[in-house]
Amino acid sequence: MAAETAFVLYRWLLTEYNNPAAPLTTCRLLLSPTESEISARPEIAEVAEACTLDHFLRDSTEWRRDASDDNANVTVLYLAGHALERHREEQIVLMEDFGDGIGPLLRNSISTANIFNGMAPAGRQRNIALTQLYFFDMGRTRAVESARTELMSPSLVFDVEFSNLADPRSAVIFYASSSGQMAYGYSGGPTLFGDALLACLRGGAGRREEQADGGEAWVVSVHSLARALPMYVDRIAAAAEIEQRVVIGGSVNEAIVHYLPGPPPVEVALRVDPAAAHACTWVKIWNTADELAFEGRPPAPGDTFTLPAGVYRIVVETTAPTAWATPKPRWIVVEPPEHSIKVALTDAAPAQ
Amino acid sequence: MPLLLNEAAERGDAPGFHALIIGISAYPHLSQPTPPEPPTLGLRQLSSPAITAYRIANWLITRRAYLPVPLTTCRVMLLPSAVELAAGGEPLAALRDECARTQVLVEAAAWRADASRNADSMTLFYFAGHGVQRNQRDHVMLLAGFGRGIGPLLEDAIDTTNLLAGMAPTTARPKMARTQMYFIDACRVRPKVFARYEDSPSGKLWDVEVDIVDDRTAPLFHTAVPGAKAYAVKGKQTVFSQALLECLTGGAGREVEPRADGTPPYGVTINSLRESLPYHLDRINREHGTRARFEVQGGGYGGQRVIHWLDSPPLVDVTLELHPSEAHHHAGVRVVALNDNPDNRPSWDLAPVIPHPYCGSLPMGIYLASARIEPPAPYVDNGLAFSAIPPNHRVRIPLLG
Repeated sequence: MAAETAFVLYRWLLTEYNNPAAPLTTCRLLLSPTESEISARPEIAEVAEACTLDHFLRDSTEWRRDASDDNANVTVLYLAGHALERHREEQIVLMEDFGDGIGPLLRNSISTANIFNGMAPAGRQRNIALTQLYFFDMGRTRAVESARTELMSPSLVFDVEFSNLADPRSAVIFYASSSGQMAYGYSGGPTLFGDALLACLRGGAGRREEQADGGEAWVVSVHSLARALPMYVDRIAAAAEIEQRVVIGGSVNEAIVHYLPGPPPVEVALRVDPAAAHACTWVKIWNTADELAFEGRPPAPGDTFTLPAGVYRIVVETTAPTAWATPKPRWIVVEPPEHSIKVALTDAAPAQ
Repeated sequence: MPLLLNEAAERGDAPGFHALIIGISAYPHLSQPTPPEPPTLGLRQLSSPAITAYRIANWLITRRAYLPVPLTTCRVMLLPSAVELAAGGEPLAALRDECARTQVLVEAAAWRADASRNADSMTLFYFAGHGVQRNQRDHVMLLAGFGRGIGPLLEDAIDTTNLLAGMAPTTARPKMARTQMYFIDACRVRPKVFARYEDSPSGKLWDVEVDIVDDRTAPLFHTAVPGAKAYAVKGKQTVFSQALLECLTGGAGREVEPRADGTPPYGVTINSLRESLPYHLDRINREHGTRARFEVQGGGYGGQRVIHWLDSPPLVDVTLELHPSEAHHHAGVRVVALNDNPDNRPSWDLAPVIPHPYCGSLPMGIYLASARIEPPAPYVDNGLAFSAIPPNHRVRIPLLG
């Protein structure tokens, strides 16, 4: 599932990513798929080299060099696979050739903290990308005590320069799970985190952005991802009855990541209070252009319908025979990741 | 006098809010004639941390009825400067503490013990004082004993890595508060002298156990980015703390799930605080000519939790402009709240729109902005519905036909 998820995100970058300020310029992909992943999607065996230590070191070096020529650059690093946690801010990620028996146990592994620190502005890379996104899609179970000493020797990806330069990066780390926790995936499908991430990038983490010319755009940003991604993973995990919670680290400073083609669709739940009034309630929802966006009985509890993000007027009618008064129309703002409308009905005034 | 408020005995194991607030302005060993580097790193006395810490504590106590769990303990350790004491506006002298590492260890241990009694509790840690950075991710807080020349350079200091790690849930403390907020209001400069040493260990608050899943929501707000300074106005509170209090009092307000007691459904969440702080900090920076930039580490699950309830809809800074700009000579604008406004009373009735763009405040809500155009101006108004959410909103009304 790790290789497949990485491949799907790679495809998203190639075909859907849109940021005029930082167009996709390089995209490096290393995959070590399982047999079952190759069977399900044969092209992933052809499209990338294996994620061995040598390949990773080579591509990381080139990646950092490419990222170092302009502070306006944006970098993304997605890592999925086996990992151990050395401490809360450092995972040891195992490369494909981990366990080859040559050298120290963790020679074919790398440290996420070393990568993060090595991507900071410093003397020889003072123009490095200031927007950096890290997605660490892996479990964070800790090494057993007896292995602690061996964990001291993952391979370094970068030399980290001692620097007095300020580090104003927006360099956010999205960990797929809490410290000490496992990360999960769908059998024969993507990882749970990767699935949620893709949903967020496709609009689930959309937010309105005012443009310099006064117009508006819908974007996915560091802050909107930080708000939506934990909620998506939480919702999927709850449905699957597993414990997995996204944790955010690094520097969570705002930066636009991706421009959406328009207002993203939002799942809307509509709850009638009291529930007994559900059967005699009829709802109409109008957008700001006075177009009818939804009409019908409220969906059953747990069901949702979809509206494009925006401002709406909601009109509720109660059908006879009814004991409830028709509420006044209300205006609502519908924004990702989800919206819940509560229609509160009151008793109709008694006849005089 | 570190305990400004202590209701731990009355509240027992019920969820509570536990604060540990430290403000060190007067560093005793920085008053001496400047010793050769490195003992004091060239640092000087400060004039804002103690008053900043006091105001944070005072805000918590004043707004205690609006915290999501009852304020149960509030520990405050202040070492005010002569400038702050001379200002005399606040009872800083009465709260004076040595703020040496031993006292901090004692108070931190008591704070952690209180926070370990219920997982639904919340904690707040605020440190204002001198800070340095040794490597990319850490932040070292210098305590009052810093520079006394005994032991390693950072003997009288604590660091954020050890602080946060020691507050994690463990087998020994399974009921540790799962919502924790940390604010380190201090510089993050990296003195070159650190490069001379193989290691620059700081003092530890506690031993760190690692044995169960760490499912905290524990954002760490640094008031400076790595390698940069934090800012303050002499004798007044720090720039960051001003922005923080603006956010907490509504500048980061959101509509949230209503409370059971029917009070207004508005509050500040961890997410909204993170999202709104830059706007307020930028405004205060412009006011004081400072260049403060903050950094948030951590968060994630639980970011939507309310950390402070509001008693009314928060105000939003709204900028309204007409497009094209020349139209403001020929059009007036009415801005009307669309909900809970039975008489359609306008919030703004601008005729003409001067100054243009027009800036003002509106309570958070949904509005309709419509223009009245004086004929024969060649403009058409279609009305524009917009949602005003803190901290700010810009409305641009297109009037081209």
